Amino acid sequence: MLAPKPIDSTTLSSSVHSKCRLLTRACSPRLISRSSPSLTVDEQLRTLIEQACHPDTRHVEQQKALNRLLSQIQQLPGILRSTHPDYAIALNQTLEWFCKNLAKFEERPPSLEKSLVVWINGYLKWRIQDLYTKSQADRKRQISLDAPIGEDSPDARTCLEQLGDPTPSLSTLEGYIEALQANRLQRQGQQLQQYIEQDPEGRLVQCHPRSAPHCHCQILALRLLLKEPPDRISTLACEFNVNNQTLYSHWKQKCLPLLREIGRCFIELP
Amino acid sequence: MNTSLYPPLAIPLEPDAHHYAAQFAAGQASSFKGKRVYLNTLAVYAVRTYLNWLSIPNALHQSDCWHAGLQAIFDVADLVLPDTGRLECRPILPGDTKLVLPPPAGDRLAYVAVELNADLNQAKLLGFLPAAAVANGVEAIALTQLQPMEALMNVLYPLQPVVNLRLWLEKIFQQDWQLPARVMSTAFRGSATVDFAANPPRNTVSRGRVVRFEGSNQAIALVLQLTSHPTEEYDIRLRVFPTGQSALLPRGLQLLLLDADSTVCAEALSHEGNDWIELEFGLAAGEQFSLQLTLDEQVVTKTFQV
Repeated sequence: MLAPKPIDSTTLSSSVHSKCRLLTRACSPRLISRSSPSLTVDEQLRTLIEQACHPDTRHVEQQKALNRLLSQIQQLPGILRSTHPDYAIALNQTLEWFCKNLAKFEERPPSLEKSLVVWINGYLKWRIQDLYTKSQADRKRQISLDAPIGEDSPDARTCLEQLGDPTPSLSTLEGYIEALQANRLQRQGQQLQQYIEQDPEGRLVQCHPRSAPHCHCQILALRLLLKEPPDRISTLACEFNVNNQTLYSHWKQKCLPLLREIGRCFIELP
Repeated sequence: MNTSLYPPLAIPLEPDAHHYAAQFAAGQASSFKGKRVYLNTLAVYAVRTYLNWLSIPNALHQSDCWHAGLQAIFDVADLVLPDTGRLECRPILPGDTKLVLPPPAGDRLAYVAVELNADLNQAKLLGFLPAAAVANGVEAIALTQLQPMEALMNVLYPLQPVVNLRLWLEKIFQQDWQLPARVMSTAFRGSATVDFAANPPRNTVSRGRVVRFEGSNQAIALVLQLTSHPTEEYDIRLRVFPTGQSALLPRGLQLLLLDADSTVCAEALSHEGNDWIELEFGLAAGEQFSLQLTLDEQVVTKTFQV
């Protein structure tokens, strides 16, 4: 007793128009005008808190007000700091809690700014305390990083000294990564690079624009992704004498799905 | 620059960010690639921290940059927002004046500029540009062109929520879109008339949701089947079934298919005794459509984009 097939069945034949629509929406003017410079910090904070918490404000406007408020808070003097290496965890937990619980905040004398800092610190203090409690518990379970490694060992450095700085800076990053890579027996990066270079099934070489067989997916992947530093699509378009947009569309529509499939099929080795 | 009165947000980078970055960098073919993956991971983690502050759902583990094979091939720093799409989080180093866009690795909602400091313990969110504002083939964006982060909310919360069907092809679904059998009437379950569930071809995906008409206490199951073709064209089949225990659709349920300009492209109407109705049509990539369901003068509209 199936119903008859649909009353109408048509092809949607409208042209491409969604891109510019999205653009207008994304660039709609900011609804809340900038605060005037004459506003005091308290007045600015009060306005933002009202915007972020008022039940009649649209969700998107509440989120924008929270953005501005977070930025303001980061400038306020007096937010607790700690030298604990995991301080970032405590601070992030606090800012998440702050956004969720802002409606519960109550202003107290002498000023909104001061009472806001006290309110935030009241939570942050305990999150920092949690870090120290956890470190203490971890220390009891592990060997002491500060103790010499062994009395008979010719290396009198402590564990901590031998481990080196656990988080690298920009200037030490490459050396740090080389050391990490040297410890890995199997690297997926090398395996995939080898696959692309050898193209054992000929899938990459066969994937090219009809008019330009020399611009195949293998050469594009080698030059755009694997070369150090990589080339740009526009450089290759010039070099291969192919239209920039043709090469760009070929990359997006043909090479990308093929390379994604190759990457997705890769199974990480232990 | 579209300057904001407010300074850019500073995001403290947690030890976990470095832990993942080191793990991913270790598997790369060279220290050059390793550094790129390391910095991409920090940038993505910073944006994730920011979204967590604001309770905006995100899924690191569904992101390409978290996939060992994809991170090794592409220069990718994406973060999946299961309800809306992907943000590309590009690392910016001190002194950079441009946000450099690598060859595209997939569709993006927006590009976010994440400035890392020299100690790599803090990131600043300098701003973003919606992907729709970046023309095909653009390889770099001046940092002066960025919009302040707060305006990203316009992209994440469009006036009318749009269901991003492209994510369905990657098996990423919004919570209210479930397997068709879960939302269709019990009278249909296991029925051979429903070719949505059993052994669909690889390029086809189906999901359904219950649509309620507030006030009249009536509900129906809306099931959408999406089939992708290598030509970047898509076939869509929208079917409406009874939900709960009902065996039949309410009479007089109207389906209108609207294009992005709200022009009616197709319609279907349920008659006495109908147990399902459907609309079938084709779309090109990027196109948007809406389905307007009307019952007893109550209207529900759902908007989709491929």
